[in-house]
Amino acid sequence: MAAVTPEADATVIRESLADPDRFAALYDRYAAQLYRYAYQRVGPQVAEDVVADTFLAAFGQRTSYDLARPDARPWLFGILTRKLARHHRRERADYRALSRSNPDAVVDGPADRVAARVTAAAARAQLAAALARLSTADRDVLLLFAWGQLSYDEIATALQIPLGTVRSRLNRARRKVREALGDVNPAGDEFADDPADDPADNMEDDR
Amino acid sequence: MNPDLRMLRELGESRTPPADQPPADLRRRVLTGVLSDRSRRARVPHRSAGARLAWRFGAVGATAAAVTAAMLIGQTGHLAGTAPPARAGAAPEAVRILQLAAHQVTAAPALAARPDQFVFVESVDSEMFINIGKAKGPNGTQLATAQLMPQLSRSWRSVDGTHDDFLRRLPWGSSRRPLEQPVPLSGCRDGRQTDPAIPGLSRACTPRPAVRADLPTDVDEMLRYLYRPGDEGTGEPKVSVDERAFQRASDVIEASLTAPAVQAAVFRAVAQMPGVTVTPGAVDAAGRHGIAVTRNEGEFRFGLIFDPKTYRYLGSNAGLVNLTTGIAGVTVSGVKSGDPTTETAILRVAIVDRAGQLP
Repeated sequence: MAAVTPEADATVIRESLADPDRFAALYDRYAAQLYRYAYQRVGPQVAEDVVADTFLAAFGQRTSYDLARPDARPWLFGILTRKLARHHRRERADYRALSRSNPDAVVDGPADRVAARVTAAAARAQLAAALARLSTADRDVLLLFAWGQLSYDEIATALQIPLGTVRSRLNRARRKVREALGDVNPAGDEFADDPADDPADNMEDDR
Repeated sequence: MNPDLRMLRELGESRTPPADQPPADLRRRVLTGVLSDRSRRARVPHRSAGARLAWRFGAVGATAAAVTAAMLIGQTGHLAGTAPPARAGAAPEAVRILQLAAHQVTAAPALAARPDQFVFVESVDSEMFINIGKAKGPNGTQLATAQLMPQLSRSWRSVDGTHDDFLRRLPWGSSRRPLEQPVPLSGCRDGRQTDPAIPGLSRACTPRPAVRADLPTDVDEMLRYLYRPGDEGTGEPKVSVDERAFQRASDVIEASLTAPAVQAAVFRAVAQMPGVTVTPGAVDAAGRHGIAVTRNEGEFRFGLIFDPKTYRYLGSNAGLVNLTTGIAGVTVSGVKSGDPTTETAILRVAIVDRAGQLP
C-alpha cells in the first residue's frame, strides 16, 4: 500500500483535473492491487476488463472526488466492487465449479499425501460453496477484508455504508463460512437440489 | 489468525495472478482510454473458457498443503520457531518406559566398526496406499480402498561414508507392493560422488557416514538438537515445537542404531517433552506387539514402539488419528481410526564387511 502523505492521491487527482497525464500515477500506484483482487474474484480475462473500466470510470468521476480524502484506495475499490457486481453470476458459477471440482483431481498414492490432498480439496470445496451461497453484499465485505485487505473503515468508505453495517455483514459472512467449514457434507452435493444449478447455466457468459 | 480467515486467505492466494502484476498491455489500454475517446479503445482478445477453467483447477494445487495443515492442525498453541522448548515433561508412565529403554540400550556395548565396513539394517517399512477407483457408492461418494503395503528393506551404509551404499527391497508378508530395483548409492570419495545413472559424471559432496560422531549423547544437548530451529519453508505442515522435536526423535534413533549412548539421550530427551504419553497394545510394522510412547497433535499421531518386556526399541509409526476425518466425497474402506499410515520396524542391526553381505 502506498504511504499516505498529505499530497498523496488527492493531490494527484486534483492535478489530473488540469493535466490528465497525471492520472497515470494513480494507475501505477493501485493497478496491481486492484488487478490482483479482481483476478481473485473473476479470473484473468474479466479482471482486465473490470480494472480498465474501473480506472476509466474513476477518471470520469475524478471531478467529484472528495479531495479531503488523501487516500484514493477505498474509492477505487468501491468503483471496482460496483464493476465486479455485473459479473456476480460468473463469479458464483466459478465458486460452485470449484466446490464440485474435487476429488476427481485426486490421484492414487501414499495415504498421507492422498489424505492431505483430499482433505484440502474438501476444505476448499466447502469454502467455495460457502462463498457461492453468500449474498453479494456480504461477499463484497468479506472478500474486500480477506483478499483486498481493506480495513473496516476503508470498506465503509468504499461501499458507502456505515461502519456498523461493515461489522455486521462481516460477522454474518464469517459465521456462514465457519459453519460451512465445520459442517462436512460427505456427499458434497450442496447444490444438487438447486434447480438453478444447471452446468450449462453456470458456464454461460453473462456479458 | 482465525482458521476461517486463514483458509480464506489461502484460497485467495491460490487465485492470484501469476506475476502478481497486471498485464503490461492493461496500462496502455487504460491510459489510452483515459486520454482518448473511450469507445475507440482496443479490446484485449478473450481467452477461451476452457483455458480459464484449466487455470482455475490448476491454480489450487499450490496451497493444498497449507490448507491441509490449517485443516488438520486447527488452532494449536505456539508454532515451530516461535517459542522456546517447554519442559513440562512427558506423562509419568511414558517417562518410566523411556527411562527403562535408555537403561536397556546402554546395557549393550556400542557396535564397533572400522571405517571401511558397513552398517547393515534390516527393517520392515510400511506405507499406506489409497486406491481411488472409478466406482461410486450408493450415496454418490467415490469409493477408495486403503491398504498398508509393507516391504522388507535391507540397507548397507558405509561406516565412513566414502564407500558405496546399497539398498535392497524385498517382499514382506502378503503385500503386493511393487518393489523398486536394488539401489547402489555412490560413496563420497575425495569430495566427489559419481552418479550410477549417469556414467562419467560426478558432483561435489560431503561424506555421510553411517556411524555419526556428531550426534549428542548428553540429554540437554540432545534436547537442543531436537528442538533446533530450521526445516521451515519445506512446505511441510506447521506443527508445534514439541511435536517437531518428537517427530525428529525417531529419525535420530534410526540414524544412531549402532550408538547406544545417542539412543539413550534421545529416550531421555523425549521423556522431557510435553504431551508425550503411552498407548498400550501397539503392533509394529513387522507384527510384533509392543508398547508405544506416543504424541498426538491435531490429526497427527507419532509413536515410538518398545518391546513390552525388554524395552528394546522396535520401531516407529506415524499416522493420522482418523484418516476419514474431513474427507468429503470419498468413502475410504480398509482403514480404521488410529491406523498408522507409515511404519518402520527395525529387525536387525549389524556390522558387515561388504555391501550386500548378510550377517
